[in-house]
Amino acid sequence: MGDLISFESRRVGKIEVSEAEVVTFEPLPGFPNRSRFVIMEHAEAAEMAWLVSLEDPDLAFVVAAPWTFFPNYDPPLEREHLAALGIEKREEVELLSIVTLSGKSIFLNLAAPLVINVTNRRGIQVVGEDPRYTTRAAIPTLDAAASAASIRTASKAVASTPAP
Amino acid sequence: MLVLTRRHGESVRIGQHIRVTVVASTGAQVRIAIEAPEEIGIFREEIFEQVASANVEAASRGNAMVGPIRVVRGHAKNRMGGSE
Repeated sequence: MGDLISFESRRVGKIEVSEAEVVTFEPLPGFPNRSRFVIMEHAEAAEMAWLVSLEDPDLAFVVAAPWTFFPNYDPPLEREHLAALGIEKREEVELLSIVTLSGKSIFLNLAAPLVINVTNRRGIQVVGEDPRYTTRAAIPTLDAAASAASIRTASKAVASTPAP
Repeated sequence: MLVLTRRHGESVRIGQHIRVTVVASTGAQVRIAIEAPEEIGIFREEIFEQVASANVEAASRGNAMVGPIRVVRGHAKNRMGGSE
């Protein structure tokens, strides 16, 4: 798996990952100089994960698979996004939404999902203009949304991501 | 900043691979055509700014969820599908 990288994130603590686990993003809007991230499991919320910067100890996003909460979500993905990432097969696509926690409310950014090619571990944030989706889509509560049924739907929806 | 005057049908080249052409202008509106490689993102400024501020907000919250973490090996998709 290559050399281990050790990084002290002030958001999630000490991280040790191998180079092969790093995801290289086209810098996300708002963070022009940050491209190396790693996805970490969230120990206290199974349907959430952390996207942790390996370049900025103060930068980490909570992310989630949008279909867990929005089973009918139709991501604003275009052929050019898949091409830009070198995605050739739908199995290579991983799609995540950035989560905003605001008081007791939880929002998913459905307008601008993160798309990752799991083969070459490159990612982009799709800046979508689909009027159906907002950067702040509220989810009811964490518990209600984490049902097994919605997770099953999530797997199905992932499989229907448009082929390049 | 470089400011240029162009007429209908005239273009500007940005580097070797990007061409911006004025295709129409009526009153306060200008229509431009942009030709660029696929990997270059092209966004309306206000949409880009909206996403940027959503990202900044998302990154500034979530301290309540700080907790122990585990490294994900394999696809998060599978993990989130409950096949761990």
